[in-house]
Amino acid sequence: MEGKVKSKGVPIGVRRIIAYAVLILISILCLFWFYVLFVNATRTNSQISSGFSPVPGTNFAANWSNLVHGTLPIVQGMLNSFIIAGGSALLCVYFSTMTAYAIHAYEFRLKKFMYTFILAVMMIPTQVTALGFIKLVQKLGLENNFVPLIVPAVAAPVTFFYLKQYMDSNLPHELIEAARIDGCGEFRIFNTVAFPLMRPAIAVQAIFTFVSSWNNYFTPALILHKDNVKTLPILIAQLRSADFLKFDMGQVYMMIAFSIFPVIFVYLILSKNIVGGVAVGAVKG
Amino acid sequence: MKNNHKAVSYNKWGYIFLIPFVVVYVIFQLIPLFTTIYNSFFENFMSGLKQVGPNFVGFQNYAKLFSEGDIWVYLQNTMIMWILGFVPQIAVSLLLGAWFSDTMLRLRGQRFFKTVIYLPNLIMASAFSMLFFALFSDGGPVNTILVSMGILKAPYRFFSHVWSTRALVAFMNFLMWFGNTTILLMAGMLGIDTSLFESAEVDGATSTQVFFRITLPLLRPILVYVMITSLIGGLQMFDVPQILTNGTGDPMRSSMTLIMYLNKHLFNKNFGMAGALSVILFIVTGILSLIVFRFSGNREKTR
Amino acid sequence: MLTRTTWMLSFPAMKKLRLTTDVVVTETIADLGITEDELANQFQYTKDIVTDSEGNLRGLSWQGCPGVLIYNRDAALDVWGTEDPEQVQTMVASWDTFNKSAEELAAKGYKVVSTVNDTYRVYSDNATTPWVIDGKLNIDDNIMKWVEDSKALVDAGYTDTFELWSDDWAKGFFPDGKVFCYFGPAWLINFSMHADEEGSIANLGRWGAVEGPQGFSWGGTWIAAAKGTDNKALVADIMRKLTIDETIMTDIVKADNDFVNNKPAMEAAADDDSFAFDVLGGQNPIGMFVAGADKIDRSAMGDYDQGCTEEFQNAMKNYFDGNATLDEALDLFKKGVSEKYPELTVE
Repeated sequence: MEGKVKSKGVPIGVRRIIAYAVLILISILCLFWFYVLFVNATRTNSQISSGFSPVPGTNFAANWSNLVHGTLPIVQGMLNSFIIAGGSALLCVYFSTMTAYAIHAYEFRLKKFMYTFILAVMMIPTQVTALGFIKLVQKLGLENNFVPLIVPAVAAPVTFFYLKQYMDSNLPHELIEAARIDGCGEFRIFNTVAFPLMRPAIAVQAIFTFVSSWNNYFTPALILHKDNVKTLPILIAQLRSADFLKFDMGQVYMMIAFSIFPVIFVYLILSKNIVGGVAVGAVKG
Repeated sequence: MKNNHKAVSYNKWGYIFLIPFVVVYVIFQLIPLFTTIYNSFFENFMSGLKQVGPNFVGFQNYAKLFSEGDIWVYLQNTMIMWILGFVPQIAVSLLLGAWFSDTMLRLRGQRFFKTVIYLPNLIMASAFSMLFFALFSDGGPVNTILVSMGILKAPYRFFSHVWSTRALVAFMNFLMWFGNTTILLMAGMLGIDTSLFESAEVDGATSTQVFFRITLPLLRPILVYVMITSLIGGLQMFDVPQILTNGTGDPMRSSMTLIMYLNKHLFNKNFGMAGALSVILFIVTGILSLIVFRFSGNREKTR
Repeated sequence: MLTRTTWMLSFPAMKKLRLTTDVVVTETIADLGITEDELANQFQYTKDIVTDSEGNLRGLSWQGCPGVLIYNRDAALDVWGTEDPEQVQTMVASWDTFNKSAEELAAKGYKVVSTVNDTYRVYSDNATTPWVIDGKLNIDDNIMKWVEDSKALVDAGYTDTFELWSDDWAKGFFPDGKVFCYFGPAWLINFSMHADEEGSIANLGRWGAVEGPQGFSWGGTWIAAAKGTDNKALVADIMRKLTIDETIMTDIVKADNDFVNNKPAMEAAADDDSFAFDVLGGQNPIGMFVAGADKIDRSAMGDYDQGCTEEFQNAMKNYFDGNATLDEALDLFKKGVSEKYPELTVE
């Protein structure tokens, strides 16, 4: 037995204090970096060089202006990232719902095989097929093109799985039957009955897919080589390796801020849904 | 289902709705997979502007990987940095998960904390790494603060030492993933029958005892699941060490991961070696995936 | 149509141009109607760099980029009691004196250079053998000398191992950075030393220039005509105006504190005080540039330069930082080269 003085262990009050202390410490650990990022993105290069300051500066507009007019095509980069991420999110949720619907609503001979197959390949990373991907893209003449980065989102096993689980408890077969009796075609049933019902789950998955695509560095870097099609992560890597661009640290911090804060901002607005979505996925998974 | 005749005519729609997934998967995953495997058996690289190969060389690329290619070193690096991040990750997640799911503790502001700890998961890893590179440089804010606080006498060269670089990578991985793991484990803990906790309390067990004797064993399936999926993710470690060390994995390639190595070959257009490395990775992650798959299957059955 | 390489990229640009000249995407200068005689005033090295393997000149430059040693006047005053260029030059006239001076500088708390990579180019430009000879990797003696000298400096604490262009490297542009000198051409002086920022040494005009232990060059911009262009006459005219016309080129120097590819014009400017650089406290460095430009020999340049330099500097950093022995670092270098260029023989 433990040699504790009280048979119930440490009193609740003390435990609560410890918990709060640890949580606050961890929160600082999570947020400190972004605070420094924000502060430094508002200071000039010489201010940054001279040392750390907890107080933000006044150089925000200047840093931003320099960055936008500088050598890195940053606004174009954000646009590119947005197009690819947005397209991926849309295609992913629509077609993953469709795939989940196929497995959920119908009985057919290969159903079990397909379901098992999709689950089996769910965890295999896409990087192992990177080489083949490059060759395919070259052969199709689609280098520097967004299509090979958006279309593959149609086949997303993880999203499929999440949506299928949601369907299991939220899309009763009776509903589908009823629509059929009403004379709806299958395709219309999917679009007008099933899909709208999935809205909460779809919203969560759309966000995850968008963020995942927005942050993706490895895959787009394989096929995007021209400056005007590069995405944000690629530009950041370029910033890291190119000599003369690390010149003005104010600009560097501003660029990093530009890549990070939009996502944080949207996250804070949608945080309830996002964190909730993870928890739901956890229970189901 | 209704009578056979009707059921069959609807069920073909199952196939139809599957077409998009299958077509895209075949084109963008299956065919590239075969191409990759195919390429791994050929010598194929660029010499300046000229291309050498493709010449069939059988398993030579594989042999080279293991003899000259230091693949074991990069595997070791990857594993070290993964473990360095995963152990704190699981420990902290268990702790936080236990606190969040403890009804007696009644922590306030849970939503705030959960929002904060999940935040790093959504951050662009390359931007995060670039940020850390700037923050931890010799003249950067971290060193400035530590020196002014008297903790250090002179700036510490984080990126000139093997273990500090690895630790930074592991730390970033920890930050980016522990929130996700916490929520996962918390959901698992909430799913445990509360009557178990009640009877344990009646028996006079301390919360620590409850945690180690009841919660943990019941969580074991989830923990294994988390560990293996984290491992599969760990094997893919790329963005953070790549940006932090500018692709060099220095000092002395101690932070070079398997995918960084793959990227190097792809970048140098050495498709033979890239292919061989990819196939090996495919096999390893395939086996691990199978384990997860089997495992989840078993969990489904015991529910 | 004109194509232009940005002037700040050094090796990448030059390498690209050489490759493209070999793969023939540009017209030869002769085909544009510009004769050898017209180019007589240009510095030879600017022509050598863009001459293809058959001896045809394919691009022209208006810039000359000979480098000098740019020293911190206040540091010199502090340590030697003088900031006069002639006196300072005696302190850095050879690598031996340079390294000795490093010791004296350190005694007063100054680093001789911001990073080992500052001096790399000076050593490598004076290498006599290329990186690759007959398909085999080769390391020139002068480059190994850089390794030796740099290791000694780092071990003694006289310099650091930062990457060029990093935040840490740039700290020396400000008085608090306590760095004695940088190496660079005209564009470094007026563009990269934070001259626009208040409080920087450049802003206060407290840099000076001397030749240093060895001459070198860094960067440049070349213009070329795309193959098959319909505007040959127009291109030729632009090229003549920018790279041959003395008046225009002199104006460039006046306006940008640049150094142009016209020897007589620059020789004249060397004696003319209106060409003094503010950053250098009113010193006119053009005479030094002229002397330097004549001596630049780029015949050892090759296609593998950029890749080898990058791998070499990365690998050597480990040795300087104490994370590897010299042999281990060299092995790492060789491994990197064989990964980048599998066709080379590396022993």
